Amino acid sequence: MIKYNKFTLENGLRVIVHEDNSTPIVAVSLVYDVGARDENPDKTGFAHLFEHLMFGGSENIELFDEPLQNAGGQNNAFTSNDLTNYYDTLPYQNIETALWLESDRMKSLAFTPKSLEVQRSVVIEEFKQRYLNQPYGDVWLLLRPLAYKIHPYQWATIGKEIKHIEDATMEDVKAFFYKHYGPKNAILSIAGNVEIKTVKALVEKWFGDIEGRQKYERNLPKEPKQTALRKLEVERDVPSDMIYLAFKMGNRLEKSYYVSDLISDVLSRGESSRLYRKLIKETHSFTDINAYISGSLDEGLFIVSGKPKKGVNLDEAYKLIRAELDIMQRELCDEKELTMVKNKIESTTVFGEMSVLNKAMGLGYFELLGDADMINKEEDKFHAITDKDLLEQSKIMFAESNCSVLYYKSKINNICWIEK
Amino acid sequence: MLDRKIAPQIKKITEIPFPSPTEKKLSNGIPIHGFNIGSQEVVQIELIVKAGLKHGEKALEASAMTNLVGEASSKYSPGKIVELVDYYGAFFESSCNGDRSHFALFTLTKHLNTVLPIFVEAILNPTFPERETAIYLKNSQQNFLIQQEKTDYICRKNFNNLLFENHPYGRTLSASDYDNVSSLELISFHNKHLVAPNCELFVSGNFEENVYELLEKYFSQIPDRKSQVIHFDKVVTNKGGQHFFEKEKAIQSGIRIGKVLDVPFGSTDFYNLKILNTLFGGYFGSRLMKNIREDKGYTYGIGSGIATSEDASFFFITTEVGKDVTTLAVQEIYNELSEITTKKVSAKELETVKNYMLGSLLKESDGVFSIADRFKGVYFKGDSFDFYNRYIQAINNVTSKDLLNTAQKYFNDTNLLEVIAGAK
Repeated sequence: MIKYNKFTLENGLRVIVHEDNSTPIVAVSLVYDVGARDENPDKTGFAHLFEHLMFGGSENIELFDEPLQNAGGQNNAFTSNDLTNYYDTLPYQNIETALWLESDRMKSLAFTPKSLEVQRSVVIEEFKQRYLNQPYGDVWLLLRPLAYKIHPYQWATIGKEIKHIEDATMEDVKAFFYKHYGPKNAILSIAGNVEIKTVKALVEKWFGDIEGRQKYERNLPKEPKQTALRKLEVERDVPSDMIYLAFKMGNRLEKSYYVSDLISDVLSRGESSRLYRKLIKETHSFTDINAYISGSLDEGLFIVSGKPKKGVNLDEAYKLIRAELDIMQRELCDEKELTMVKNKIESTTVFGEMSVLNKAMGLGYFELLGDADMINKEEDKFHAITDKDLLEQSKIMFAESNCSVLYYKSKINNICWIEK
Repeated sequence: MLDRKIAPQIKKITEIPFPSPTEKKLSNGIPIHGFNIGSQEVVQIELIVKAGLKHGEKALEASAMTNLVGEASSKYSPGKIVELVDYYGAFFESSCNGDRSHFALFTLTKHLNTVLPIFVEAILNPTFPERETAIYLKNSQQNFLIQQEKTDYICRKNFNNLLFENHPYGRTLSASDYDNVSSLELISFHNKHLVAPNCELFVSGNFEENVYELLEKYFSQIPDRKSQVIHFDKVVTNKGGQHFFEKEKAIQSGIRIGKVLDVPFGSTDFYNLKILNTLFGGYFGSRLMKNIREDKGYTYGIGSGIATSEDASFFFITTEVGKDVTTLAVQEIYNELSEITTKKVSAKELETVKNYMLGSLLKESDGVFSIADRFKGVYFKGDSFDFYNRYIQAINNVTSKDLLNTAQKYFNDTNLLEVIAGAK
């Protein structure tokens, strides 16, 4: 249970404060309601490139990092398809430094050409390092457009191609900032050794004079219901084949989201989960197997991915996975399995609350979803789920016509295997 | 009117309190270090054993042993242990490094009494069944083949191999190693090393004091017999030189540059090197990041570090850069090295590094598990929490002149080892 206070500034900025006196530090999280899904299809990767530019100096402060480091702080940020989250941790006595820095870059960026030029190169290197120069690195660049035909989830946060990043202009940067980075599109959450009264005054002081700007109204095209199995096959220089099955699932607020999450746990959380036990331990037809949900706010994906053992081809691998999903569609899972995954949820929640940064970011995330209080209701939502819910959701979700399959084939065949 | 150009006042960190552990001993002589200071109802129990990669006759013995503990035991058939532990939302984490194996149990405090005996049974009486061992090795081999496709991995592996030519720290794996480990070897490795004089116990979190009795009850079963002491010479130097490893079609190159440091843990030079390293490549605002990422845009990330093991310490710089700028990036790294050995650091830069380091230390010591981890980090180097008091003092007192002297003493030689992996 995380206790917190919530208030809204006149300019529309929502603020959440959680006091935790057991720690010498404070975490400050600022989440902006913008992600890769809000990009123009011809200018993808922009939300993430923009995140890099947020560190290139603001109107009154030349560099973001240095003053924070000087106050004993650390910071980072991430961009997802849904949102962009900046976060700082520092000694609690120095919280004002973080508020000063975060407020100035919300007020206005410096928009220096040098920063844009350098960060374009940095992001292109990031594109190469994470998506191109890694075995299996381009999987999501392939899978997203296969699964989504209309919705902007069809591209990854890094963008569709390097060219989009090369083409970004200062004009794009400014327009994006004024459209998405105003107080009405942001949530500031603070957790740590602080007092609500002091924090409120400091937040008013630094964020209060930022002009409200517009509220961004999201109006994204809805992905039409998939009606047939989709399949893509590629060949790459990787040591072994890999298979991906991506099923459409509900959005973050639907009950089915929670049910799907538990289904993924039954199938693949820990070594006693079904896929691990059956396909690795019992038959050893795979060397690696996983099931997980994309965790998206709009209609997301339920993924099963695996590396079949040498000698098991991708069609056979597909059938083996399919057989396990068929069981989920046919039979109730047993009481013990369900209790186990619920116990795991409980333990994850308690361990998660050990860190003030987790708490600050969690509060901001749920407020973005609609209400910070959801953070304290998550566990109950999971607990209310029954074996019948899992069965019903499996029937709908695991329909073959709801699936996109990626065969990622290895070109390398020179590996010598000695069976024991 | 608010003047946004003026930074708010900051308070300096001058000290960080580290609560001393409760020290006890089991009847078989195993020391227990307890940190009962958690605010959440969770507990971690960790057994650390002198059974590292260097102790194995074969490169894979220690890692296979740690990974397969928990698979099956005298009492439990394959898969049963993890099923029992998973049920309570608890989890085991085992790992090994060059010097030691680590076995940790994480659980909600309310389930400790139930899962602790299973954890102990798993660690003390593993059976390493042939079938499960073979599956584990095959899967790891597969994973190894994937790793080998990464320029970063190729670079790190060859760097370590060249840096530690005559010490098992430099041992490298090949795919066939995974075909050459047997259950019997694992059983023998486990029996040989898992003896009381090799073990230390750590308990941290929020728990009842009777935990110490439980630990006595279960862990006193570890036999109190001497294990054969294997001696390794300390590594105090390395051969310099430049090496290139080709990875066809790679669009980025992995770069690693470094050297062995002959410096006693916790000495003044050691602290100065840590500070120098932070300034040079140890944080986001470091010189390497500022120059090679934030000014030139050659890379997504670059950093340097000082790694300390029982028999050696070494300094390393690591990055992945676009293939076309590899030579330029390497040159910039050497320029930066030359800079720290010839010029004094400005007062402003030093001040930022000091404040950043103190803030990081504070953050790293937040929470009971972190505090316990900080303790383990120094304890096995023969030090205590006093290491941090001296560290904080060293950070507060160090001058630009001290850092220049340290840089000249340690980085003014030709012993640098440079390894690049990528396409020609």
